[in-house]
Amino acid sequence: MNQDRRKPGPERLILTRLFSAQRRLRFVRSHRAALRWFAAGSALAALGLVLLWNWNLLPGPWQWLASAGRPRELLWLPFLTALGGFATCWLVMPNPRKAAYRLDQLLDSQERVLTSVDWIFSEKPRTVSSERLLQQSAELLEDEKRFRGLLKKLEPVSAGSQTLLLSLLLPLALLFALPPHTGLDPTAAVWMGESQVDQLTEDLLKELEDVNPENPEERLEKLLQELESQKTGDPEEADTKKELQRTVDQMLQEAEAQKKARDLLETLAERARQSQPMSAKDKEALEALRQSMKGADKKERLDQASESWQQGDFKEAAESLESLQQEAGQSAESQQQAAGEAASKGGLEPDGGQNFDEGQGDQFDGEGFAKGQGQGQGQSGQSEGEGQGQAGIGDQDGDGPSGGGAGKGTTQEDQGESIGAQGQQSLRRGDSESDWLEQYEHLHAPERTQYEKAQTRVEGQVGQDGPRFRTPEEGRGAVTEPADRQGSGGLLRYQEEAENAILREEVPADYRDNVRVYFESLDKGR
Amino acid sequence: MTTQTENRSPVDMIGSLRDELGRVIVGQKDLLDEVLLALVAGGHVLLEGVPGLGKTVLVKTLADCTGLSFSRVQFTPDLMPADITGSIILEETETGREFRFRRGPIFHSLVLADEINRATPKTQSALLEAMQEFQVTVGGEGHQLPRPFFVLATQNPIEMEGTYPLPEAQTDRFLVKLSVERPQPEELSEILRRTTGLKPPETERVLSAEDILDLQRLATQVLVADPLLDYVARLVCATHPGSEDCPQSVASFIRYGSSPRGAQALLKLGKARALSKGRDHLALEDVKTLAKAVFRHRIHLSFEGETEGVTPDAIVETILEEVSFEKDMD
Repeated sequence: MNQDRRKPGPERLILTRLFSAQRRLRFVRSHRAALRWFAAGSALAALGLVLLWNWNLLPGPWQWLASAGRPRELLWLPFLTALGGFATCWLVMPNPRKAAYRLDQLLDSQERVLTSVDWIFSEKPRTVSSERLLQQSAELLEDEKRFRGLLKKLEPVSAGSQTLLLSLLLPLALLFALPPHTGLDPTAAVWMGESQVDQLTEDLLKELEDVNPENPEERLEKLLQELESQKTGDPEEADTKKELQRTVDQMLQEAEAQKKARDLLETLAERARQSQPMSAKDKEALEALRQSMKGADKKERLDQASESWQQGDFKEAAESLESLQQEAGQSAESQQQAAGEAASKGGLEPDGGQNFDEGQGDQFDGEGFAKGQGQGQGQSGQSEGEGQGQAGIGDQDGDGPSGGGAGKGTTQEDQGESIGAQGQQSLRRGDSESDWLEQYEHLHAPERTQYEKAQTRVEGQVGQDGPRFRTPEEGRGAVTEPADRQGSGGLLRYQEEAENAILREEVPADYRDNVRVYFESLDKGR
Repeated sequence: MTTQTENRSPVDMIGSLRDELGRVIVGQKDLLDEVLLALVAGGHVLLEGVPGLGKTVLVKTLADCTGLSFSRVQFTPDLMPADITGSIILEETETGREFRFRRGPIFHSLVLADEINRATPKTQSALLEAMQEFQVTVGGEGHQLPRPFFVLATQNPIEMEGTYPLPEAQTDRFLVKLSVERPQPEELSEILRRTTGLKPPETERVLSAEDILDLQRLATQVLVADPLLDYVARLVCATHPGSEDCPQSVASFIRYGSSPRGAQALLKLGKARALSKGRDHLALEDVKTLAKAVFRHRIHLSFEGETEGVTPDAIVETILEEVSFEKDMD
C-alpha cells in the first residue's frame, strides 16, 4: 500500500517527465537564442563603432552622434541583446506535444509518449488500449537516472553555436584597431536640416539689405584717386575720407553677405548631396542667393543647379552648388582683402568702424536711430552733428546715399535737446574724447551715461540697421517735420512686425492677446 | 472473438497468415504485407501488374489460408453488371413459377476482379455499391454481401487497347493500389522450383472469417494522437495544387489530388499496420510508409506531369519531405 502511494501513477509520471523535458527544451532554445542574439549584438556594436567613426556619412539628423565619440560601453550591447534573446525564449514554454515527440525521438518509441500525452491532455475516452499505452509510456520513462541522461541529449547546443561567442572579437578589435576618435569640432557646422537653410537665408537677406547696389570697387578706386590728388589738410580731404570709409564699409558688408551666401550654398549642396528633395525653404534660399549674386553667369548656373535639384539630379545640383560656394568664398575673401588694402591706402584705420561703434554706440539705439541729434540729415551712423540746430537743416552731407540714422531722434525729448545746432563734427571713427559725448553727459542724468559701453554699442558696421531709413521719404526727412513722426514710423513698423509674428505663430498663443493689447495701448497713447 | 484470437495476438495472427502466403508466393514481401493490411483495414486492393506475376495465385492462396469463400470474375468488354451482381430469374417451383434472385459471383468474401479495366464502365460501376456499402441492389431489393468482403482487382498497365480506364469514383474506392513487380532471378528460380515439381506447395488455413473480422475491429481501436491526425489531413491537402501545403515543385504536375476518402484510407491502413506491429497507437512511420500506396491512384497528373514523366510516387515522396510533422506543434 505504502509502495503504491510512493509510486506515482502513469499519468503523473508521464506529466512529470514531460515537464522536465519542456524545461530542458526551453533552456536549450533560450541558450541558442542568446547565442544568436549575442552575435547580432556584436555585429550591431561593430556597426555602431564604424558609424560613430564615420559620423559624417550618417544622414544629417543623425550627425549629432558624432558627439558620442566611440564609447567602450558599446561592448555591453552583445551581452544585453543576448540577455534579451534568452529572456524572450525563456518566457515561452515549448509545446508539450512537441516535447513529447522529442522524447519519442530520443527513446525511439514511435510516438508512444506523444500519443499518451495527447490522450491525457485531450481527455479522450479511456479504453483498454489507452490504459495499456499509458502504462507502456510510464515504463519507458520510469528510470529517472536514465531519463536525466536522455535529457542531456535532448536538442543539445552544438559546438558550432558556441563559436558565436567569438563574434565579440569584432567590436573589440574595432574598438582598439580604429584610429583614435576625433570629436566634433566646436565650430563645425553640424547639419541641422531645413532649419539651418532657413536661418542662413534670413542672414543672407539681412546682409543683402545693407549692401549698396553700386559697385564698390569702382567707387573705391575713384575715391583713392581723389584722395591722392588732394593735398594734405585740404578741407575736401575729410569728405573724401568719409566717403572712402563708407565705401570700405560697404565692401566689408558685401564680403559678409558673400560669406553668408557661401554658408547657405554649402548647406544646400549638402542637402542636395544627401538626395533630399527641394523644400519650400530651399526654394526661398535659392531665390535669396539669386538676389545676392552678381553676374548673369552665376545666376544662370544657380538656376541650372536649382533645376537639376528639382528634377532629381542631386549629384549635378550638389556639384554646381559647391562650385558656386567656392566662388562665393573666394569673392568674400578678395573683397575683404581689397577693403583692407583700400583702408590702408586711404589712411583709414582698418578697424575704424569698430572704433566708431565703441566710441559712439550710445548715439544709437538698437534700431540704429541716432540719439540726441537734430533733425538734420547726417550720414548714416556717423553722428557727424551736421544737423542744423533745431531747425535741423541738413547740409550737403545729408544727401549722401546712405543718409540714415543721423537726425532722427528717437524721442521728442531727444529732439528737443538736440545738440545738432552746435554743428559739432565727430568723424565716424570718433574717439571717446569727442565733444558730443561731453555734451551728452552734460545733458543727461548720470544713470543714463554711466553704462557699460560694450553692452549698449551697436554691433557691426555703420548702418547695420540703416536700410530702414534709406528710402527717400525717411532719409530726407523734412526739416520742419517733427521728429516724433520718424519715431512713430519705427513704432508702426515694430507693431507691424509684431503682428506678423503673431500671424506666423511665433508668439505663443497665451501671449498673443497681451502683445496686441500692448500695441493698441501704445497706439492710443500716441 | 474466436478462441484463436484469444490465444493469439494480432501480430501472431497476421504473421502466420503472411508466412502461409509466403509458402506459395515467392518474394513480393511488401505486396503481401500491404494486401494483408488492406484486408485487416477492411479495404479493397487494386493490383497493377503484367500478366503472369501471381496475382490470381495470391488471391486464391489468401482464400485458402483464411477459409473465405472465393470467386473470380474475368472482366471482358461484353460482361454485364448482372453477370457480377446476379439477376432475377423465373424459376419453376412446387407452387408454380416465381421470380427469384440468383446471386452473382460478387456474393463471396474474396472476389478477384481480373483485368477490371477490360469491362465497360457500366459493368465496372456495378462494383461501386458493393465495395462501398457491402450490399447489392437488384430489382429494387438490397442484398447484403458476406463479411468480410474483400475485392482484389487487377489491371494490366501495358495492353491499353480495348480497355476502359477506371473512373476516379471507382479507383477512389480501392483502399490501395499496389504494383506487382517482376520477380528477381533468384526469386524466379524459387518459383520454378516450387511450381514445376511433383508436389506443389500446400497451404493451411490459419485464420477464419471471424478472426479477420476481429482483426478489423481491433484495428479500429488503435489510438491516434491529434498531431498525427492533423498530419494526415495536411498530407491530403498537400496533394491539391491550390493548397498552401502543396510543395511548389510538384504543384504544376498535379491536376487534382486525393479525396477525403484518401485520408480515411491512410488512417485505416496505418492503424492496421500499427496492429500488425503490435502497437496500440499509430506512429508517424506507419503514415509515411503507406502514403504512396494510398495516394498513388488518387493523385491525377496534369498534362505537364504526364509529359515530364513524373510519377505519383515521386510526388508523394516530395510531399512527405516538404510537409513537416512538427509544423502544427509550434
